[in-house]
Amino acid sequence: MQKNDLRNGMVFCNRFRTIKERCLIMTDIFGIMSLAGNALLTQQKAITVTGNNIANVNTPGYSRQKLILENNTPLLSSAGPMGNGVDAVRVERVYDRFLGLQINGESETLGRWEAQKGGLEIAEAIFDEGGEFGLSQSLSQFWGAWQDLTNDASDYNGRVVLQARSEVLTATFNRIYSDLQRAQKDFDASIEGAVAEINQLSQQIADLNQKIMQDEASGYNANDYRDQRDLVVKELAGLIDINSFEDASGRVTVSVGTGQTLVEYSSSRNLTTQVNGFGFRDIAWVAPDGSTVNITDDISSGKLKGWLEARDVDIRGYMRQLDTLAETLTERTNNLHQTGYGLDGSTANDFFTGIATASGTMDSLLTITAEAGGTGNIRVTLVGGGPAGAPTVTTDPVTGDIQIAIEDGVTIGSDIVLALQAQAGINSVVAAAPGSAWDLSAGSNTVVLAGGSSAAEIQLNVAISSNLDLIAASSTSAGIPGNNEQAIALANLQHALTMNGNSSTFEEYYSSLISRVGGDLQNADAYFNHQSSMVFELENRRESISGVSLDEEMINLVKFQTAYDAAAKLITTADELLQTVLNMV
Amino acid sequence: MRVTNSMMSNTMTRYLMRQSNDLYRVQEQISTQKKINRPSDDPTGMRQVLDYRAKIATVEQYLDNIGRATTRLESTETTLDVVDDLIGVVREVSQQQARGTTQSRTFAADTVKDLYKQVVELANSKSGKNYMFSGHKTDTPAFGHVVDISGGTPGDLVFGLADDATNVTMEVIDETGSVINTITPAGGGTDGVNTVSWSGVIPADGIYKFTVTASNAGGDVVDYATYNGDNGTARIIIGENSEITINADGREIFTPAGQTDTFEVIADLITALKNDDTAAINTLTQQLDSVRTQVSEFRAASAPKMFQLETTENFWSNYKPKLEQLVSKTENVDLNEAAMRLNQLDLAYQSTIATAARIIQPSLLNFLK
Repeated sequence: MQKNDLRNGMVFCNRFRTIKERCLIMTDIFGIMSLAGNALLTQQKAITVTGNNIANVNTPGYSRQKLILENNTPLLSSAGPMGNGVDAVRVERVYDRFLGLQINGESETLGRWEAQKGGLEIAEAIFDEGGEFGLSQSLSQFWGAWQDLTNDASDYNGRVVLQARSEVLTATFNRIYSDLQRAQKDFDASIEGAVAEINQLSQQIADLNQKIMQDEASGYNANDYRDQRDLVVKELAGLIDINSFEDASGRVTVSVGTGQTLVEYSSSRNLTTQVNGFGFRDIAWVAPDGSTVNITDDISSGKLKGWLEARDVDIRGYMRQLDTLAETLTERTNNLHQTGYGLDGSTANDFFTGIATASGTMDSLLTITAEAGGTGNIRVTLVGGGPAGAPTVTTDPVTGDIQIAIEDGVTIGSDIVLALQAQAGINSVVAAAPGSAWDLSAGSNTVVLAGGSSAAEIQLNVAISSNLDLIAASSTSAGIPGNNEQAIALANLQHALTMNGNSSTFEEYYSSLISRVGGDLQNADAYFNHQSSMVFELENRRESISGVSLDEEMINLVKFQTAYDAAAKLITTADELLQTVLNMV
Repeated sequence: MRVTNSMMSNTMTRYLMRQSNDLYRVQEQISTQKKINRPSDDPTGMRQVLDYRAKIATVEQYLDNIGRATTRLESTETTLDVVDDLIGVVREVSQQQARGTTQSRTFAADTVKDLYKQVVELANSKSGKNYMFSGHKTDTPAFGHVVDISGGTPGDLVFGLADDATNVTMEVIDETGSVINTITPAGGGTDGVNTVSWSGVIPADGIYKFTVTASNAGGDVVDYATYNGDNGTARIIIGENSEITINADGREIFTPAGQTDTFEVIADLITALKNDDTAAINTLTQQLDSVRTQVSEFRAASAPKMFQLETTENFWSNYKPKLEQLVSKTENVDLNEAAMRLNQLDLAYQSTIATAARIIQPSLLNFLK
């Protein structure tokens, strides 16, 4: 539309109403004024955007913004189309979407190694082998005390020292085991905390989705909400590995596990925790109908994975090895000690106690209940002999009971042990009948199960600590008190190849465990360092694109200020022109 | 590349942190003098260190054991040296009295009685609180008369007589020396070892000494010490699955089977001197020579053991510093190297700080009016 001011013979072209049209008019002084006024406002907007950038120079996740300027639709004049000032089109954020996705992916891995490294550092500190007070020292002193006793089998002092060393040894086993257990519980608590955090973050993303959609429906860019959402998604990625994509209307869909949706449009689903057979928390996704899907095994990255690995793989593995050590030590020491004679002539005494046992007779169906909360090794010994084969261990999906099917040609319990160890939550063990190949008449085959944790429960036989004469140093009843043969046999156990399928000594087994702990941490540390460099590089690249440079903003500020000054000068000039014209009248 | 303020400060922070961490590690190495302060510093090295440490502890224990075995052998040697001397004196007396008078023989009998007691005392020598020559019965005097009561059941009373005797009386004494039981076997005793079962009230469990009085045809004291121990040996660990066996059977020294019974010979000599029996004295003088030979033979047998102990001790003493060297090589830090590294890191750290200070501070703002 055109608006004519006939009195001045001038045409004012209102740009707001004549977007795609050209006005065929002559320029006039008021036109200059309006152009200058528009320029003033636009430069001021630019200064505001610059100011906003400066203000957010240290805001995490902030992407610098830019006022997009275009020259206004030209006016047609007698000299042809003539520029008609500036137009502030929109505020854009400077952002590389691909980089954002990459950062999210790497943050997942970083989170995983950060958490796992933290877990392993705790484990390493628990073993406390850097100094000279760890289990290896206790073991060495224990064997030394046995040797010392051989020097004088009837010596009371030697017995007192052996008692003290044995108690230190068992207390060290107990301490390390319970500390590892506590560490597991700490990670468990971290996992629960993380799940709560994930739910909160999902909720935030859903809210932001809503806001972005609303804002952008009206044609503008929701720059700040987008920045916020990117930050929240990145935070979420640090906790759990996610899949995310943005739809046409700017909403982000986030899924975890094997495609379980956390955020869709403006609604979010929760994750929850479920107690598993070990008494620890598994992670589950809550479906819209309230049913749950266990996604623990599908989590492959993020802090959650790190804690899960530390809790269920690393520390659990160390606990098992410690258990095996304590158990074999107990077994071998007791075997020898039982055949010896104490100073008081007593025999068949255990030296260590603490292997919890449960036994049953294998007939048609055997239910063996191991010690409550037994997360350690289950030892199966076939007392009655009999044919054997590779045992298969399965978990009943309904009751959670573990069933051992022993088939034709089974040899001995070690296979069963291995098979059982792979099972979660060994609380109740059901051994099913192996079939006709193994004739199981009642009472003919006895299975002894040792449950519970030997490392947690190992202790010096109370009978011995209250009567040191029971320590069996003599190999014969007649040889009391001078005979030290049994003590020698026990001291020589130090060098016996008892562990790892009779290939290493107790001490070697333990030092290889320590080496494993150190190696795991070293690996995690290397991964963490590598990953943090990677994320750092990517963050830097993001900063390089989206970050605020104060120098740049300062230059812009000067630039826009100068333009503002010039536009003001233009108004003054137009005013002077107008005065000149009026003076002519 | 576009460089922003955050990039600069983030990079500075990151590198300063990394350098501080490196500095911290080197400082830790220097102050602990170790390059392996935790398993993750060097898992393989840590494993070696633990294995070496365990070995060192074992070697120290071996050396300790060897020390005790050596002491044991040495005290055996010292004891037997004195025994040899004493028997030499007895032999000398015996030889002199071959031409002695009745009166001098009566005096000599008293002298030999004292010497006899001394030899028995030496045969009952202790190492620590254990009798050295009782085999595994380290709580029982090797020679002399004791009766063992355990579980309320008394063992037999075993005693030796140099001659057939009458009027045999045994008095059992407790720790305080008071007589708690007197046993008189019917029919007296015969030449050699006699066994009499307990009669009368049974006292509390324990090992009780008893004395024997008896008179032979000449009316003289004729009992001698009998062995109360067993044939157990003292075994001491001197290496991995390697033990040294020390003979602790007192019979092998004083009353070897088929050879001369030292105590019987001396007891017989006392009788012969009292009885003024020249022929017997002459025979016994010769028997005392074989007693000395027996003792020397026993002593000779322990010489190779002494040698073995010495060799083994030398071996372990040389081995231990080597293990210590290995530990030190594996876990100790080379101070020069660490100090150099500290210097380098310090330089790097300082220049990073200086750079940071120069780059971060100025901005265009300082130059705009």
